[in-house]
Amino acid sequence: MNAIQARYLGRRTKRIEDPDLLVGKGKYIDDIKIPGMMHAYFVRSEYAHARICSVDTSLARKLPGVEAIYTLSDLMQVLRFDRLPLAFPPGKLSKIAMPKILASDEVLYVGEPIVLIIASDRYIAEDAAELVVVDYEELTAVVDPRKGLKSESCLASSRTKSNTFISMMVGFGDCDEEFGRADNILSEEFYQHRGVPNPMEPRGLVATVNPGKESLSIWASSQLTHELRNTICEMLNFLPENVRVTACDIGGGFGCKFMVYSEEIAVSAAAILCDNPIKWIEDRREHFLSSIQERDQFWNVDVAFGSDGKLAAIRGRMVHDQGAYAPHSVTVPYNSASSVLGPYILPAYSLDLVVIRTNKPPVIPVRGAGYPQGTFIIERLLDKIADHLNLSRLAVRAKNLIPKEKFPFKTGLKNRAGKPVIYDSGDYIKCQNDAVERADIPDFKKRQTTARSEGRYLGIGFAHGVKCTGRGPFESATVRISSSGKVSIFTGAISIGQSTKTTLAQICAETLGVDIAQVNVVCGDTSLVQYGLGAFGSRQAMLAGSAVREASLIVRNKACMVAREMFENDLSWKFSNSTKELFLQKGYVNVRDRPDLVISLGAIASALRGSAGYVFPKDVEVGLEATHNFRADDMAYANTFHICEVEVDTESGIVKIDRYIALQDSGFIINPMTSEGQIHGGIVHGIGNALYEKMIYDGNGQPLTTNFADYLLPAATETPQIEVLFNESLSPLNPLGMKGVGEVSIVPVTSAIVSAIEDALKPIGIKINEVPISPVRLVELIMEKEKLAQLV
Amino acid sequence: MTDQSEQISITATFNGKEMTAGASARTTLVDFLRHKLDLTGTHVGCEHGVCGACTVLVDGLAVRSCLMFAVQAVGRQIVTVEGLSSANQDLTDIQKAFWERHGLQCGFCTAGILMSLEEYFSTEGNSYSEDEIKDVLSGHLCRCTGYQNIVRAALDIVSDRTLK
Amino acid sequence: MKPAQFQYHKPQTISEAIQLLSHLENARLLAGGQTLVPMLNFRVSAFDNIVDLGCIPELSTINENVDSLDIGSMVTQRMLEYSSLVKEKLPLLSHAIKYVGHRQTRNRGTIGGSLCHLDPSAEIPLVALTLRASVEIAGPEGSRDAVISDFIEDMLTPAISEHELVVKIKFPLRYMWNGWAFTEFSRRKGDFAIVAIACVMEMGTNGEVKDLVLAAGGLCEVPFRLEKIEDAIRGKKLNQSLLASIFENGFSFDALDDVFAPSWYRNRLACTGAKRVLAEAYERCQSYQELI
Repeated sequence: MNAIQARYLGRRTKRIEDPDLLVGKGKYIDDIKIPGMMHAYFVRSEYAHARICSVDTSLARKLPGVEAIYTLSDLMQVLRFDRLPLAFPPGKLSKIAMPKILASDEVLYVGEPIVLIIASDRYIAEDAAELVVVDYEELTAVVDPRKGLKSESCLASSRTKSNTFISMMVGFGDCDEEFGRADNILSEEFYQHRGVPNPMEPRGLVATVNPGKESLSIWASSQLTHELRNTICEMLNFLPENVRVTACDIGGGFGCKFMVYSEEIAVSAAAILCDNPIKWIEDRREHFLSSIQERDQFWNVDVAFGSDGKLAAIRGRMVHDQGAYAPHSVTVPYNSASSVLGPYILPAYSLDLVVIRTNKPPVIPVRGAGYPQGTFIIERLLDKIADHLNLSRLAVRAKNLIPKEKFPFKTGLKNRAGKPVIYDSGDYIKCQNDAVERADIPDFKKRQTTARSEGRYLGIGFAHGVKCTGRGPFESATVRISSSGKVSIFTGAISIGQSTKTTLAQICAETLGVDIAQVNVVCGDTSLVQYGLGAFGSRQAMLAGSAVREASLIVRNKACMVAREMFENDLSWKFSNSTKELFLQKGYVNVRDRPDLVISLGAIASALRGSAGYVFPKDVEVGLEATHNFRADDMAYANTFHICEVEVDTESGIVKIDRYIALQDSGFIINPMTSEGQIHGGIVHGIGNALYEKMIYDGNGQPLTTNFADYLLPAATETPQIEVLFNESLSPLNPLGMKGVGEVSIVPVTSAIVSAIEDALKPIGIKINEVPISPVRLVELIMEKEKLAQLV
Repeated sequence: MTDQSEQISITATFNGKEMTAGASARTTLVDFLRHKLDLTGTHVGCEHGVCGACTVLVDGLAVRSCLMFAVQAVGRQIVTVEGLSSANQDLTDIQKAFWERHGLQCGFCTAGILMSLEEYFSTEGNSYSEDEIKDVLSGHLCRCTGYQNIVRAALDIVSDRTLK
Repeated sequence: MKPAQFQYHKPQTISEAIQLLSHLENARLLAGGQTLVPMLNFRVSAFDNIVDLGCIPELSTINENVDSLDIGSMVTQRMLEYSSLVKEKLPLLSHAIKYVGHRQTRNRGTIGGSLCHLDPSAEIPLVALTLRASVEIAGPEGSRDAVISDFIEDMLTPAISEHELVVKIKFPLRYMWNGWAFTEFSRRKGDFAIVAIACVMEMGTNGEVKDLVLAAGGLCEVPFRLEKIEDAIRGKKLNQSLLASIFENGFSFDALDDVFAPSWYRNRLACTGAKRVLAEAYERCQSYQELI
């Protein structure tokens, strides 16, 4: 496809979502209003670990406006199981890794839902919650996963004999040999914490049982409507055609809506039991208590390397705080372990991975899905290698980057399914060099020197990031043209803010030669498209985009075929065999050099709709439409290189980010404007993870940061100007050569920022092996160094 | 205990139109706007006065409507995002700038930011610097955009209206 | 996060408000709502009666008298921020107000509300203390005045009964402050201060500091004057060596301590802030001296 001639593909295109969103016409889950709708609210555990001795709802039931109050045993009247079904292959983890629909005998984290209240409004439901009396017997909570690992007596769940969900080895090659003959070895410990997803819109669901209780209609603020539909069917015994799940406009996900939650099943069950539409909206406090999050990892690693800076091997151990349940098995820790490789050639690798159950909310992927953590390890190690050998950080990286000629590159790792991890394409050194050129490092060094002479500390940091994108096995699209000539796309892909509708419409409009305003995109409606997987893992542009592309091509070819027949029949006009004579433009099929010969797509659609008693076009299926489920078994690897300038105030430990450059390679970019926007968002989320965001629990597992005053998100005043540049290494895995955009942008951010802070404080010589790094902690590290300096 | 859920009659001007509806004393202004008046363009993000998604104009000033009770709106002029554009829904220049600059992604925080910018651009004595614009935005949280394009859109307005 | 039920009252005069307070059970005054309403929404507090002071016009005036600038308790932080009178007469207050929350907060938040809440790190109580303000309080027995240092009884505890309300805050104009400065340390712009320092200074004709007030907020339970430092500076010229000698041992107050900011960190910030603020205030004195 020649991008210069393209009208939409590869071009900055204004979004089709915006005109409605800008005037307040968006329809988010809490905007849905159904006559007779009731409101749900959950009574949640006050303890991190406790036995539930009794639940007394009698007083709450008497409150005027309360419609119903349900515990697990009530819901079991319609539920087939008391836990969410396994979301991973059987045998991997025990079924008690899955959350219960409502806790009944034991609670495993503060915020775990116990009782569901249905009332005429949310205010009354919250009043009723205060009247529910739960009698707890407090049990010891497992809070630090390292302690949980050692303890056999203090168990996070009384149903288990150990706090270890699973322990496994991730690696390849011969570490013993590499370490045995290495010139140099360094050993380091790292602590990393990622926090709460915090989209601006919390979770929510509306469930209606249709008259006769034979079918359900669900609206969901969900990243996976088909999975939600399937789970509801399984849990509540419905056929798929009798449960319709529709995605609304969604105010962000970042992973927290990438799961089917107990609350969603409970509310659906309640809708059946009380025969009323029910709306459940999570409030911000609940989001902090019971949404999934990522949290703590403790790493001990050794790195073996040559005196020229070449990596030989990495080995170590990582303890991962998984929380009370593992609904997505061990995706996050496995990803963290795998992503240590980054864009580098590593001859041998061995990581002991221990996944521990704690009395905190469950962990599943938040934007970046564990990749930021693995990246932090390799990037920090490379900085330390550079320091140890007195080489530049850029030179050490260049020494180890996988060169372009080696792609597709077999890393030696296996993925969770046991398949080899192969990087499809990339030019890592070019990204590094291009970004370095943009950064003008000599100029920075001058400013750094001047600042030091004035007692100010400026620093520059670097980091590479690689992320698997396009997780399959497929995504769906139906492209249909109606008699009006308007084009509809139905897809299992879901729009959570990442401009899915515009991107898909661009591909379709380009292929069909229509104006983008003629394209309507419907995401995540399970009745309009039978199969789908949804929004996660930076996959939708690639997979849904390819599905739309393929389906649109089929529709285009069909339209041309039918147009040809219609021209020949109606006008006795004979085509030569050249298919190039027909082309689509402005909603018509046109004939080259014959501007008088046009047929509208709408007319063709009418013909293919059929008319009883009249001739139907030859050799074609009914309908000007096509469905394509684009299959993908391999992942495309996007990469990025970040450069960050900071200033550190050594008195207060406050870090200011002065400049941020991101050079990203996500293959072919459908819309540079929206891709750039995604990168902005990923970087600022990463700034949050580096400097601000920490979900703190006390020794009893009580969350201490459950509001926006205590848990800090970066605002505009905390963000620098971000410069985004693109390189393009096409992926061989899909026709347009696309790779995912949204997550690779967050992957190296904590690494780049910490690298910059260490560089700024090089005269003091502090070492930062943890993230987030708060001003208090930074000052502590500075003071420790100063004390040591005084002793010498 | 007396029935404190009795409805209080609230009459105020909403987006230029005088309207009357009842609400209990504890009903927040944002809930009143969204569920009583069906003005769902204003969103609820935190209910404790930090995220700014619920920002509306009360007598011309940007206010967090999750921290006001509907009864406090009596007799006042309230403007929500629905009241920004004209009757035939043409976008304002600020809204157009957001569209041009890709200043929104999921759109959930957008209405609140538009209201703060509406107040800002209607006030005298600003410096219209990038720092000042970021200061206006500091009362709003956005998880999607990283604020970059919102700042760019606001700077476009500064130059389009030749404010500097 | 919806509040519990309450009865809503909106008195139209001060005496009506006092009347209500005297007979209502479990009542709370509603000023700007920027602190109270989040507490109600979280249900960390609940009251049977909420008395909204927003409909009493005389509480929202700023009046200049011969010896004081009287600011009504319901004057919003925004009104203070944009008042040219306040900027002229009380530049410290005018400057510090910009650190209070964000613009939306200041559009509703009031000077009285902040003063009566007494969050340890709040800017307004700190500035009121520094400027030696007093409050006029109305109650069932009539009116009384209280000096701010007496009014600030303890953390989150003003010396005021549940039957009284603050009518106005009076800032004396008789002091010859010709220099002032304010700084605060916070994680993000508009956040609660970890520590805030305020200073007003009067410089004599020979460049000596005739008088000063130096106060810290966020350091301990209530804002307080750093009197030992004030005494060490009073009467002297402020220079680097004087500052170095005063601050050489840092601060070791019995400061607030929590997971976000331990006491040693607050002491460190307060020390850094105090140095900066003294130097800046002195510089302003010098500029003022040069003008006349």
